[in-house]
Amino acid sequence: MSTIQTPLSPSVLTRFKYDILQRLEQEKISYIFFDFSGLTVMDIYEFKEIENIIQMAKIMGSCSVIVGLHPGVVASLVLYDIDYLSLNTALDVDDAFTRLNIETS
Amino acid sequence: MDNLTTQFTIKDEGSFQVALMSIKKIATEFDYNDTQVAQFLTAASELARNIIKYAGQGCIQIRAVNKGSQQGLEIVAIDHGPGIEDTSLAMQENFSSGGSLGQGLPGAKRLMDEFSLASTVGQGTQVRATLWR
Repeated sequence: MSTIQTPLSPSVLTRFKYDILQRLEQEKISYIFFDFSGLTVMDIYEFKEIENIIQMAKIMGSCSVIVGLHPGVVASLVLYDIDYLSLNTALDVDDAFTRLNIETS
Repeated sequence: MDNLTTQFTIKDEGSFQVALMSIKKIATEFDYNDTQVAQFLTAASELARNIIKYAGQGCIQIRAVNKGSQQGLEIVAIDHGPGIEDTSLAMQENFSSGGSLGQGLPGAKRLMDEFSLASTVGQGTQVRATLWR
């Protein structure tokens, strides 16, 4: 479970990326849940950085699920018309577990 | 809310985040719904990020505006950076002269109801965008 509650500045995102990749190198992690419930804004730069981290995690064998997106963030992402459909998302952590159980059963 | 303009200087990540927090308060007090607050803030974030990236520093102004019975908040992003040579090219998705993904300006346009871009090479850029309530 990876949670960000602070604004996604470039330095925060760089540190976040480094921490995730380091953990993935150190231990086998099948699923990463990114909890963004504390974010009320996500601009395109931030979204693309998160997308890059998820792609890096995928290359290292880990599946990512974004949980807790604020409705306003969702509305903005849809208006941007970017490819958010490639992302795994869930309403919250419980929903994410439920979806994963269904997919793996 | 009266038509006073609130201005924020944007020059680094710190001033950027402080401005966004204040703009969030203004947008919330304007009685936008949660989705509109997020749209407005995200557009402000795109424009402020563009100022830092292309001009180094500039300012963001927020003011209440009216058109007929419509009420909204207007963002004006002003910088005195290098300016944009071809503004129509800059508004194309995925075009960027700064090594980024080039979706900031068109992205902000998608989020707002009205959007205009004026730029003079060597003098700077001004973006004006409004979201009606």
